[in-house]
Amino acid sequence: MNIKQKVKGRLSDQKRAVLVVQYKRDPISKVKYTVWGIILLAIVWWSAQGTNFNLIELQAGAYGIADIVSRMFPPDFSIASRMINPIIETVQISILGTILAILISIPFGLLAASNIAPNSVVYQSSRLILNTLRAIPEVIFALIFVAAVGLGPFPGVLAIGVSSSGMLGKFLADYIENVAPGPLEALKATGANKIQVINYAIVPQILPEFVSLALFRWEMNFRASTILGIVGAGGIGFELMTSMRLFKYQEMIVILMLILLVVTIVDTIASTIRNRII
Amino acid sequence: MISISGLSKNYNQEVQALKTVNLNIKSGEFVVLLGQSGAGKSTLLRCINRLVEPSEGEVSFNGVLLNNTKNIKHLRQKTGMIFQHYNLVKRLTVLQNVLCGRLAFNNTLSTCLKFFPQKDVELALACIERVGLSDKTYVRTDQLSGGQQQRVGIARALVQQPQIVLADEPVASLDPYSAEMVMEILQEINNKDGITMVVSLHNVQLARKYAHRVIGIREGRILFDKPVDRIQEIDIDLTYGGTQDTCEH
Repeated sequence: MNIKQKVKGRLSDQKRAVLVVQYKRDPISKVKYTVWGIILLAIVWWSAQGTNFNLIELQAGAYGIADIVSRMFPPDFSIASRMINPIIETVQISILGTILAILISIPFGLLAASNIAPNSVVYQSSRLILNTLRAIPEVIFALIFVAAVGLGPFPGVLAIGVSSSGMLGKFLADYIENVAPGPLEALKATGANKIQVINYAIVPQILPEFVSLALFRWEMNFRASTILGIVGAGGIGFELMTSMRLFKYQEMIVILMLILLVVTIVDTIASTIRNRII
Repeated sequence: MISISGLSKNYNQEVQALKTVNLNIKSGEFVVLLGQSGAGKSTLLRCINRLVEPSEGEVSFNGVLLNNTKNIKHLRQKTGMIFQHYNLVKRLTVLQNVLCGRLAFNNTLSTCLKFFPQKDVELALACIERVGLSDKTYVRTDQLSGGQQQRVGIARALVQQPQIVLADEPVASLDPYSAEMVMEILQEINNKDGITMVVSLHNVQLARKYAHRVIGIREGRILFDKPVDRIQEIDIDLTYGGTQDTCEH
């Protein structure tokens, strides 16, 4: 018996035509896509209304942008040497801020992990604190700390530390909740206390992931530190703000180039370390 | 040595894992708990060292009732436990895993700084030698085979210098050769050191070969409790029977 004889039930032309018509009329997909399309368009229109989005004005503004860009050239490299200290200061803000964030995130992260938290009140309140810290942007913290301790890099460190501890703590709690439970049970069975179980069964399981996360956060924090200078929290952002205010666009582009350079260096260092750990 | 009376465990309204179990385990015995998966062997073992909190009933260790955290900690210190899935900390080395067995004997601060006394380290090395893994001392345990990992598990229990070892399906995940090796190590520990063994198994041949005393468990109840030489086919059939028969055609 050859294969052609085996394959019975070839469709008649009429039946095939019916299926094609059915496909074209497929009520579900047409209605569904139309509805989603309308919803999406409505959201875009609603957002455009709310933000005064206007293509004609954008076209007019393009001349302004082109003007600013043209005034950036030629870049004034003579100020580069003056910018070395502020950019080092920004690196220092990001490093110390990240370390501060790690220190804050560890206790909250532990208490916000359901397999460690002593009771649900502690668990829920730790989650709430971490979510709050995460929801408030760095710049807001920077404004608060600048008002509290004055201008300079110190409030920048505090702002970076407090605001990024929310994300580090949340992830730490998630990592802890996902560890293999077997080793915890085994160490508990030896009579080890809770701190010893955390140290010997949980820390080795989460350390590489957490270090990798902290390095990633350090990259983010360096970029955030440049913004913080604009509200007076030290570093290269302060210089960037000054040259913008004084319309010194030829200096501004040099500062932007320097920031780009250091961001690249920081990213490279962090990803090199991360690849070695994992 | 271990005295269990009226022990019950309900996981929720419907599942009753243990139904009023009474049991005495004497010092130096090699006891095998025999039964199907889900019969309640693991729950019984975990109720002894309170990894599982019993719903009803009492457990005493050397005549002391386990009713407070101090007594439970004392029992856990003196009780080694071995698990089906080894439960090693995979990113740590063999030596570090074995030293975990000494955590309860040292204060929290010094263990946080990864400091163990010289005599603990020497003891750990001796236990590793005993399970034949000296050449793997500084190897991470995720590099080891299943049989080797279980031997690390045994060394971690041994380093506690326990009076009793609870082993929950220690060979269920191993190939037959590794299983025999692990059982022989447990037998040797029982013979030479006089450490009491309570081992749950589902393999009848292994139970006959290594046990002094076999306890058959089915649906949370003790079916029989006999010296190994008095075990009859009918006991085994009652422990395992019923479910397999209905599947045959």
